[in-house]
Amino acid sequence: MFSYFQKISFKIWLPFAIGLLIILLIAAWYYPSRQEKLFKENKENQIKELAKTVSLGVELSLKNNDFAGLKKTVDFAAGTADFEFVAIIINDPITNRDSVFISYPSLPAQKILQRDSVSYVYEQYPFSAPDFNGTVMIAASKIKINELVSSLNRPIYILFPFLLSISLIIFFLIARRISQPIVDLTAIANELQKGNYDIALSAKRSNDEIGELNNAFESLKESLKEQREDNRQLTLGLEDQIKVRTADLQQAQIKLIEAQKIASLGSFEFLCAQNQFIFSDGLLQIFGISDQPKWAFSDWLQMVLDSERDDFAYQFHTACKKQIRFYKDFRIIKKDTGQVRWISAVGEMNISSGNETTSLVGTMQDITERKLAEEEIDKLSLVAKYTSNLVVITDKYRKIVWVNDSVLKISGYTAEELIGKTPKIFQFEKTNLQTTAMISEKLNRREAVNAEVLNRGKHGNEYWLELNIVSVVDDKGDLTGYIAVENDISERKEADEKLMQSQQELKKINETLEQKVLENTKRNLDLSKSIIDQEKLVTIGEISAGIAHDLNTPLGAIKVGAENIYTTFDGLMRDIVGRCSEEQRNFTLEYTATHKPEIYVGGLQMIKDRKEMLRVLYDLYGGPFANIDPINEMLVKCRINSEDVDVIRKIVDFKNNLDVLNLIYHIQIIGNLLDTIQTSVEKSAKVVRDIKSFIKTDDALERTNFNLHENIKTVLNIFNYELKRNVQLHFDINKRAYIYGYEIKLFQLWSNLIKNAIDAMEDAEQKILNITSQYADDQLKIIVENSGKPIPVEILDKIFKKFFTTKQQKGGTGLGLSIVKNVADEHGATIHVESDTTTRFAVVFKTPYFQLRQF
Amino acid sequence: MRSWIKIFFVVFVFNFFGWMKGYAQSNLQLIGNKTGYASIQLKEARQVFKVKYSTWTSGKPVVIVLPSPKHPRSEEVCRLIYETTPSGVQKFWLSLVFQGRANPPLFFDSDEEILNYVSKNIGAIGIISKEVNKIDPLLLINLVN
Repeated sequence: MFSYFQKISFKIWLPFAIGLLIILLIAAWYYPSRQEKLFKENKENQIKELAKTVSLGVELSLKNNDFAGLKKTVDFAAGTADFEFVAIIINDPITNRDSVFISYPSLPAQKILQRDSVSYVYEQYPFSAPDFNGTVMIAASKIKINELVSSLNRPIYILFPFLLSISLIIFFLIARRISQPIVDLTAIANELQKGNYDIALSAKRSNDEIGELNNAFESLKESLKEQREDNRQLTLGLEDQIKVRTADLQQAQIKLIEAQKIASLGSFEFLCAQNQFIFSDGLLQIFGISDQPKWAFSDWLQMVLDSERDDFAYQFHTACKKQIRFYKDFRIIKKDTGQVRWISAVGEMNISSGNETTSLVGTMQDITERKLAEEEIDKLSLVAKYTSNLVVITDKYRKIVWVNDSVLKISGYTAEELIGKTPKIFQFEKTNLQTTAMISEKLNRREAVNAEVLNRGKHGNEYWLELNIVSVVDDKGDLTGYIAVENDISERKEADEKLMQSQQELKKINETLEQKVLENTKRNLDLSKSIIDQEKLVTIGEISAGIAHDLNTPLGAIKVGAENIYTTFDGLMRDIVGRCSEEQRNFTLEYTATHKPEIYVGGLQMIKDRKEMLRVLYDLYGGPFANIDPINEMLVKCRINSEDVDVIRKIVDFKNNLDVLNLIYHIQIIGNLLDTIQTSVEKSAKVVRDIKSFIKTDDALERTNFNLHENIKTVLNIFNYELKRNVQLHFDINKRAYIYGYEIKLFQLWSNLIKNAIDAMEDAEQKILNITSQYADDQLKIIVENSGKPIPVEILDKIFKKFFTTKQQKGGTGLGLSIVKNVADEHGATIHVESDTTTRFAVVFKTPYFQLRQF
Repeated sequence: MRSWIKIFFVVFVFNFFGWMKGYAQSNLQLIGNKTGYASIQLKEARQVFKVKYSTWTSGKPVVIVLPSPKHPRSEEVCRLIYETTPSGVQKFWLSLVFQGRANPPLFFDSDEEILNYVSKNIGAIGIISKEVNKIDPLLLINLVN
């Protein structure tokens, strides 16, 4: 609401009031002063006339003995309000001195003759009679005159405030009347704003702008009223619709809850700012919690299985930070039963307009049963895939949909060639048609089939199989396909034929043969390992100069650091420490323990700090003092903060302040040197660690999951010296890529490829080595590309063969790329090479030997 | 003894004759209208004319009626009653009337006017010449020496 002073009536009234006040103040000042002036002039004239009258009365009384007239004139004079006295003054012509003949009222002559012009107004008029001359003096009281003036002006002083008050009230009423329609319209507008459309507009109408405004307002009000009615109708309609929709929604919600229960599904919301989870009832049931907990993220994390907490937290925070979809399968321990349950969580970020992650909303589903089933399927799948038995799965039309590796191996077909075909592909003229008819007949009856058949492979090889075929039906009992588990019984069949003849002999031969095979195999394996180990040592030997350089640099730093520490420490112990008291030493040790600045090497910053420190010293000590320049220099060198005035004052107040500063400075130098030595030692240790990892023997090898980026990086560290000196390296390997395999063997793979690349670029003008990764179609391709001399096309298909080398003169063994090929095979990877303007080796890893992990 | 008596006798005689001469030479007579006086001594008469009283015993105001300077006996009246000149009488009355201590006297130019006024106004007292004969005896006040 407005205050009175903001109202329009006040704004109309105020100028009138100020104008009127000014007019009345001017009138109140001017009119009385004018009145006073005129009154006094009039009074003086009156007194003058009275003097003249009395003088005439005296003159008449003396000339005509008209004393009655004299009495009248005196009475007349005495009757005036301000009359003080009247006197007849006569002048002695001899002495020329005035004397009072008579006065009325009777007063001392001295009072009359000594005129008091402050208190009285005097007037004199001469008279002349035959024997008597003089003057009539008449006096009036100024006090009484002023009283008369005051009494004359008094009504003005009373009237003016009265007039002012009345006028202000009248103006106020007029202003209020002028502004009243606006006030009324404002009140009506406020009522309309509150939704009171039935309010009546003021009946008073005027033919001015306000009247027109009133009319317009009334039209507006009617229009709003109609719109409100329309809105009300619309709202009623919407409310009905909302009720229907709400009922539908509630039904849907109930169904959704039931569906969630069935699916063991629940929703959650994580409020990032509050660090709090909100779970749906369904989710609480999954967790085995009865009431909604107020869990922060760390509280929730306690639910997650201990071994998976870090990974879960990492992925959750990464999703929040990068504002990406969160997806994670993990295990929890149910609160009520303590059971371990598999949970699948999916969440989307809610992002504010300021690009801040406000919350993460998503669902969690208990997928324990599914996981168990998947694990079961995985196991079965592995069995099916890797079993020595042949497994063929067909659809209900007996078209092959899946075969295991054993089928491919024995038949010589690829999976692509077999899928979509019927098992007749394996039949040929020697196949027993009765047997095949029997099989078909039994399958039609959905009976299990056991039979032995002779098949033929793609390349004409014949083999015997023992079949075990079962029909597969769905929940409704409808046929969906067939599974055939087959044993290769070729040998058995062959053996069966010869067994009877040479069973004993064969047994002996077999035993001898197996022994020899084992021994040879072991020898071959040992030889192979030895060759591989030698190859590694050759690599180390070739890059030993670089390794020596990598070790020499930090060792040099350690040597110089140690010598400097010795020199500094010697200086400290010999001179400075001895000159410092125990208190100073303690202070220095305490200060240097908490302040470890880097030592200056000069420069503009030091000059600037010197000026600042000098200013501080001047402020602290009121001007220069002894040794201020060296003290300032040492304070700055010791990197003492110029704002730390307590420390500065304490140091400067020491008598041997320069010794204390030298002690601080030398201790700081020693600290810095020790840091340098520590860093150098760490660098040396890393070089040694990398070499140690590289040359580790294969004996203790076992498959592990390791990060591919780190694996290649370790090899690059070994070649650090060579690469930094000559080669422009571009290294970009997906950091999420993990390999399931032999970390040490992959060292060999990369080291051979990198070493070959460096060798190939020996004569190149521009030496560029790119090591990059590409991921597509569940395949991870690692490309090692060099800008060196291309490999001739005619030898491209030989380079992976054992003992093939183009570097015989340089001591090449021809084992490098052979090892690369073997290692790649061991990791289910393929290796390709292309060589034109550059040479590109591509190692392609496939699942399950690699995986891309979420951060 | 004789010389002392002789001196006393001579002084007495001179004064007596002086008094007698003054009065014997006065040709004036007093008139008054119900003033309460049938006769009055000169001294008392002088005090009455010098406004010793403002009212008579009857309570009527005293009204002094005098000959104006134009009257032939004016100076004589001034010297007898006021023992001063006509100018002195004017100043005497000027000061009295000026201060409001007395009602102003009435001046007439002739004895007839004086007589006429006194006879018509109760409380009036005047002085006229003895040449006027026809006077109501009630108005006459015997001036005793």
